[in-house]
Amino acid sequence: MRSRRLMRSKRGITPVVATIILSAVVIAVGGAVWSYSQGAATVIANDYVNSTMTLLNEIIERFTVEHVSYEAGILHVWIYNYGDVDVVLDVYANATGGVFSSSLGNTVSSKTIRCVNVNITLDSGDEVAIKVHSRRQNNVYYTYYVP
Amino acid sequence: MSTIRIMYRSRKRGVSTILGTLIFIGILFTAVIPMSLVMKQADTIYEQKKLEMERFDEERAREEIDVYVFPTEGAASDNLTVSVHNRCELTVRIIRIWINDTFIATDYVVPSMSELELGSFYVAPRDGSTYDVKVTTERGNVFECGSGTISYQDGHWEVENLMINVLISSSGIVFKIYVTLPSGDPHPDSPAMVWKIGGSAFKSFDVTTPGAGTYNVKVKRGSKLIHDENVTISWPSGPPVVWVYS
Repeated sequence: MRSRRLMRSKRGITPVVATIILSAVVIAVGGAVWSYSQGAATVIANDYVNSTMTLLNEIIERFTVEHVSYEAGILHVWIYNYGDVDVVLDVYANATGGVFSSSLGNTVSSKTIRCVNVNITLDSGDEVAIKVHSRRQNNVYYTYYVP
Repeated sequence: MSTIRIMYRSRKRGVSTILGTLIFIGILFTAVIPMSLVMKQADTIYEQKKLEMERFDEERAREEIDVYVFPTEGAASDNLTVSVHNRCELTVRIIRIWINDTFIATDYVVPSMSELELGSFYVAPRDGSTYDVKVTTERGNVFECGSGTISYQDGHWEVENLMINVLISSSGIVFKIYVTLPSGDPHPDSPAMVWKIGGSAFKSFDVTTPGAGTYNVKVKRGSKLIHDENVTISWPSGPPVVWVYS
């Protein structure tokens, strides 16, 4: 009778150990999956937010060619950034007769005006097609006639 | 005895299922839902800003001001006054005034449908020199002087033309405009028949030869008089162009 009781009580140990091991495995694997999911979700969310903000900056930048003048081999292009973000601009000038020049990487802060100088030789009466290209792929065009 | 074993086994089977469910719910609430919330928030900001910019572009397109320039103290003045007439429903902020290739930073606010004289601005005029004036608004519009280039000749200021511009927005298609000179005679182009195309009809009357003075402008639709106004051109003490809105 005694040994039977002992046997019965011993039989219960293995299932408890098995349950503990199984639970530990589930917790470990689940924790790993949880951790990976959190990391992946954070990376995906950050990438999405960054790309959305980049696209947002592209659509909110605003600039215009406010004034152009020419003096002694220098074309002065006044650019007004009336948007809410700073812009980096490349200015290209194409004149009649195939004369071409450019000025690259000009930063214009938000709500400010900046004069970009383009070295180019022009004659009176020349027509100059000016293209201002932002690094966010927006363009502004202006035609200037040399007085 | 067999009943006890069955109960024990069925209880044991449930532990992993519960843990798995808890982990799944945990992942859902701590990773997937915050991720979708952040993405949704970014989308909301994008859409909101896009809408704001659409409104801004629309407002920018609606900005409409007339700019005129005249000498501040008579024909021999060294200073110029810029007259700005805001003809749109928006308040316009003038941030720069260009006189030839130099600009003057300003901060004038012109309320809707009102006029404001800006300046005066010293220009040190020389005989034979010409001046192109334009203004820049905060919304990025540039408006050139409606009376063209102003020049300084033989010690006094000159403009290309003195003009009376008539803009008709009243209902109707065909209108007749009558302009009477200060002498009482009709203007050579009067009566002028105009057709409204695209929401408004426009006619310009050159009054350079009669010169400064008070003119009478009448607008008729058929036989009905719809507008009668006396306008004064006081050049060089005032703008060389006056507008009549009907």
